[in-house]
This record gives sequence, C-alpha cells and structure tokens, in this order.
Amino acid sequence: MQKASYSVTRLQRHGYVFILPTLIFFSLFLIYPMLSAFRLSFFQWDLLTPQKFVGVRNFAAMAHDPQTINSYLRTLHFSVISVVAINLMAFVFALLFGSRLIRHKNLLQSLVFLPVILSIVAVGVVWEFMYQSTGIISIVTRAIFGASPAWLTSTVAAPYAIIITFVWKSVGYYMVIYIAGLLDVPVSLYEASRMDGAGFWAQLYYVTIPSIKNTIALAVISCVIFTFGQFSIQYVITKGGPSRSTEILSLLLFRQAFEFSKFGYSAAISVLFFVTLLVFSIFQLRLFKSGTVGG
Amino acid sequence: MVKRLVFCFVGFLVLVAFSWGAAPKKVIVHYHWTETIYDPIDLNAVKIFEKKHPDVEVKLLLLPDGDRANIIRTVLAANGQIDSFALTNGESAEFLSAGQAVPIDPKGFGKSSVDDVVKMWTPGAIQTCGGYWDGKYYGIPFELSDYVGWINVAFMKEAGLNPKTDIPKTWADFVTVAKKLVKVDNGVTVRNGFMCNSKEGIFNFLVISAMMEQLGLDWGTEKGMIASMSQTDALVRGLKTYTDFVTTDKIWDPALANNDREGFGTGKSGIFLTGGTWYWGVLDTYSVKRKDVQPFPYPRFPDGKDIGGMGYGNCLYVSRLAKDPALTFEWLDTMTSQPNEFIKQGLHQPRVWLSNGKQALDPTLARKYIPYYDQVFKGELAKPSVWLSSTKGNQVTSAVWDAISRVIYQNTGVEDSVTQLQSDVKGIYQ
Repeated sequence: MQKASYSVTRLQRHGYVFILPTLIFFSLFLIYPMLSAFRLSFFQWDLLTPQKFVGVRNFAAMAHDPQTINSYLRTLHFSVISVVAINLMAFVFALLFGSRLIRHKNLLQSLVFLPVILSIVAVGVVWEFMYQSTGIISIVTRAIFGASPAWLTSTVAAPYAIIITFVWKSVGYYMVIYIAGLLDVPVSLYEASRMDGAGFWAQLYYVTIPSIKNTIALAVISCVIFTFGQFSIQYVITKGGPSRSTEILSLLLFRQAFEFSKFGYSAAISVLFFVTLLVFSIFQLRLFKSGTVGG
Repeated sequence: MVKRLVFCFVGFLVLVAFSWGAAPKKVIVHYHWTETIYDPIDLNAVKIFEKKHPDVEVKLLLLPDGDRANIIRTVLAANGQIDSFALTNGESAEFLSAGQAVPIDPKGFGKSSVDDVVKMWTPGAIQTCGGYWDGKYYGIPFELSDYVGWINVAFMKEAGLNPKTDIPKTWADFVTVAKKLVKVDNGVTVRNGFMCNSKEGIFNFLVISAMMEQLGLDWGTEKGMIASMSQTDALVRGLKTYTDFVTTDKIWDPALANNDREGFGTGKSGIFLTGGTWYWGVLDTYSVKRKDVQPFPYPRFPDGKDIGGMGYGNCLYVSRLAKDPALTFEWLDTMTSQPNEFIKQGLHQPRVWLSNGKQALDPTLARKYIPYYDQVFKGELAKPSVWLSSTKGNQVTSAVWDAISRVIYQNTGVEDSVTQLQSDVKGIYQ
C-alpha cells in the first residue's frame, strides 16, 4: 500500500515538473500582467511621474464618461452582429461542404478559409481602399443599387463596413470548427431519424444541433472573446472614426494609454473588459451545460 | 609541438592581459526616430563623435516615429539606459514638466553660458521646437519646419487659372480656387479641391489651430487655450471656416481618400496644407511631378493676424538618467552639426553657428535644394503659428478633432459643436 501511494506522489511531482515551463510562461505573461492591470486601475499614472492612488475614481469616471459608454455600446453592437453572422455563416458553410450536393469541396473550403491566414493589417488596408468612394465596393454598390453609402465616412455605414470585413476574415476559421463537430455526429443517428420519417429540417433541429452542442459552445464563446477584443481592423481602417462610431473598447483603451498617457484609466477599462467577458463566459457555459439547446 | 603549445599559451595570456587591462568604454544611448534618407547622416554623426572620443561608444536607437515617444516614456519609467532622446514640440511639455530632461549645460558646447548656446540657433528656434519650459532651456533643435500650402499648378491651368496670379491669399480665395479644382464624374468626386487627413485628428488640429491663431486666439499655450474657450465668436468662425470645406463649399469629400499627403501626390487633391520643406522628397515617391507643384503661404483672414502655418520641430534632450550630462550634450552638439547634409534631403535645421564658430546652415544650399525656399518657406518660418505646449496636448487635440468630426460627419451645428468643445476643454484642464 505504501509503495503504491509513494509512486503516485512521485508521479504527481514529475507531472508538476513537466508543466512548470508552461506555468512559468503563463504566470509571467498572463497572470502577472493581469494582476498588475487590476492593481493599476486604482492608480493614476502617466509613466513620467510617480503613481498616485485614486481608489475607485477611475471606475466612477468610466461610469460618467460618454466616450467609454459609447465605446462599450459600440463594442456590444459590433460583437453581437459579428458573432451571429460568423457562426451562422460558418455553420451553413459546414453543412454545405458536408453535403454531397457540392462539388469541388476542397477548393471551395480553401477559398473560404484563405482570408483567415491573411495578415489582418494587409486585409484592413486593402478593404479601406475598396470602401473609398472610387473603390470597387462603392462602384459595385452604385452599379447594383444606383447609389452607394459613404462606407467609411458615414457614422451609420462605417460600423457595418467593419463588420463585413471582419466576418469575411473570420468565417473560415469557425467553419473548420463546425466541420470537425459535424464529422463527429454518428451516421447511425441520421439513419435512425430517416427511418422515423425525419426530413432535413427535423434532422437539423433534433439530431445535428443537439449533437454538436459542445462545438457550438466552443465556437460561440471563442468567437465572442475574440470579437470583443478586436482592435486591428478598426485601428487600420477607421482609427475609431468617423466621429467615434467605430471606436470600440480596445481602441479606446489603447488611446487612453498610448495617446493620453492615462494608464490607470486604461487599466480600469481593461477590468471592465475582463468582467464583461467573464460574466458572458459563465452564462454561456451554464446555458450549454443545462441542455436547453435543441430541446 | 611543445614550442607551438607554449607559443599559443603565451599568446592567450597576452590577450587576456590586454583585454583585462583595457578600460571599458563609456556608452551613450540615444533614442531617435528612423527615416530612410536621414539615417545615414545620423549614423555619420556617431562616427564623428566616436572618432573624437575613442573611449565612448554611442548606441543610436532608430525607432519608428509613431512608437518613439511611448518607448522613451517606458524606458524612463523603468529607469533604463537612456542618455538622450528626441521629442517633437507637441510631445515635450509632458516630459519637461515631469523633470525627465536636464537643462542645457553650456560646457557640452564649449561655451560659458546658456545664452551663448542659444545664440547658435536662429532666434526663437528652441522655443518653437519645444525645448523651452518654465524659464529654462532644455532642448537642442534638430528640425524646424512649418506647414505651407501646396497646390497643383497643372490642375490650376486645366481649370483656367493662372498660377502666377491666382494663388489664394485669403481663405475666401482659397475656397474659390479649390472649387475650380474639384472634379466630379457621374456624381462622384474623383478629385478634391482640398483635403486633409480624415482619419488622424492631429493634422486637422494643426490646420485649424493656425486659423484660430490668425483670429487672435492663443492656442499655443495652456493658459491661452483655456482663455480662448470664452471667445465663442472666434471659435465659431474658425470652426465654421474649416468645416464648411466639407459641408457647404464641397471642396473636400472625405470619402475619396483619407491621407492628404498621399492624395495630393497621387492627384486626388488639388491642394493640401500639411507639408513642410521635406515634402519635396516625399513627393518624389508619388506620381505627381515637382514641376506641377507649387508651395504657397497659408491663406489669411483679411481682418486676422499675419500668421502662417504651424511651426513644428524636434529637439534633442539629455535625460535625467544620463550618466555624464556634459558629455551627452557634447554628443547632441555633434548630432546637430550637419545641417548642410540634412538640407540636401529637404530637412531644415535652424542652426546658425557651430560650436567652433563656423557657419552652420549654408543659406545657398537651402536655396539650391529646397525649391521656393526664399519665396515661401523662409518668410513663413519667420511667422509660424505655435503648436500647443501643454501636458494635456493630445487630449485637447482629440477634443478639437471631435468638434470638427461632429460637424462634418454627424451634421451637428457649428455652434453646438463649439459648446461641446468648450465643455470638453474645461473638463480636460479641471
């Protein structure tokens, strides 16, 4: 008996040794910066003068700052629409490429996935040119509809211009996740449902979606986290304009820190970020765990 | 074999003794910005200084301009290795007010007083370049430029205008000329009469700042900026003049392009207002040719002050962390001793005398390498508008850009936008 427990403890110690490098890496580059940011959110600091403790003043200022409120709402708007569009499109593509009706599947899948591997900065620069009044998107829109919105200089159109670019860039990645999830669904379930007289939509609702519940949870949660923290597309294409209509939280956080040198306030915004995503993730996990999806 | 071994061993001992005995070099670490055409000149300054001081090694860190100030800020916060650094006049106030630089030490220039050092540069240059704060001189000017207007004379001729007589002198003329340069194709503007950068607020701030100073507002100092917020009529007039370019005069469609320097260089705009002498070199990278371009003095208000485009520059500073401030100032002296090399690349350095008493910038070189230097740049450099020197300059710039954006992108009334601006600036300086 003593011998068995001795070898289990030794095994555990060896296990810790193996995960030590990763633990050190995450502690240095994730945990420590995160805790530092939490701490900094209670201070006022511009890096040039000593840190000044201000308590919750940064958080109080955030609650009354129209720019922060605007950015938060813009982020929610951007995230909700993007996440729904990306996941719907990715799921549809996955279903399409899983069916026997589509030919040249590999080529089409590659084309859908290609934007994912492109540099996001290069994507932003090219799409910015395409959105200009003499750019290809404006030309095509005018040709089809007779007029084109001022994609990047209209406070109404600019957020959607960003969303379109971001969805185009991201959908391929989530398509792969959904394809993997669909491949895991046992064929016998479809055969059984077919024998019970289920058509396509019934199979989709009663077989496919419940079977890939975990895949949907993974895709949606990771999509929300990634989308909420998005920065590059807005920074490259509009820099938060026109008139702050595309200034999402990460961009505001960046400006507060690196343009206005308000590192404490910027840290407070990052805490708001963290809390929002934490609440969302907990809610999402509970929702998918409860088995309410698919009946 | 034994002889060879002994020989090698003795040689090794000699090497160890030599390197052990050699004194470590003093190191000066300087943070600067990188620009392809200027970098070789800066590196040459390192060679000159190291030749004069064989016991000194200069580490010249050439950084992307957009990141430079924040990198310097971070190194200073970490008490890292930083002996000297470069800042623009829009950046310096924050650093100087926080005591991050040391006042000029005349010993570094072989002079006995700060005044003697100041006299080596054109009068007022240190102030304009942001190197003067709270009664003391800190910065050594590295660049002094000013914005002038740039117009495409080929487009003027195409529109039936005469480049010799129709260059705009007032803002009203400016609009009249710009309207004729606009080109519309099937309802879409394919060439702006004028454009400014529609993404970066700073350029719009610098143009409108010149207008405001022409209207008598002091936008060059913190006190002046705060006081100007009570002069609503002038604020409304300045903001309206600028935003009318988009909303009423229709000489600027922001949807066509966002970068004014690129837009002008590629023929998407007939006029722009954010270029200095250095723009000649930039223009050479675009399709519009030098022969089709002419700089001109900033337009004026007929009843306004005779003030030109924004004067801006860079200064070099010795850090509070410098190991040997006097030696570091001597390094900065060397760094700023090649104005004739820089002028060939279009960069104007306002140095009149070198430390050895010789003439610094040769005016004939300026005339040779900078087209229109005598006719436009020299005169405008003497009466530039002043870039706001404030620890909260970036926040004010952002508030002014918000005021402009509200009008041109959200159709807010000018008066309402000015009211919001007044409230924003008050909040910034509270």
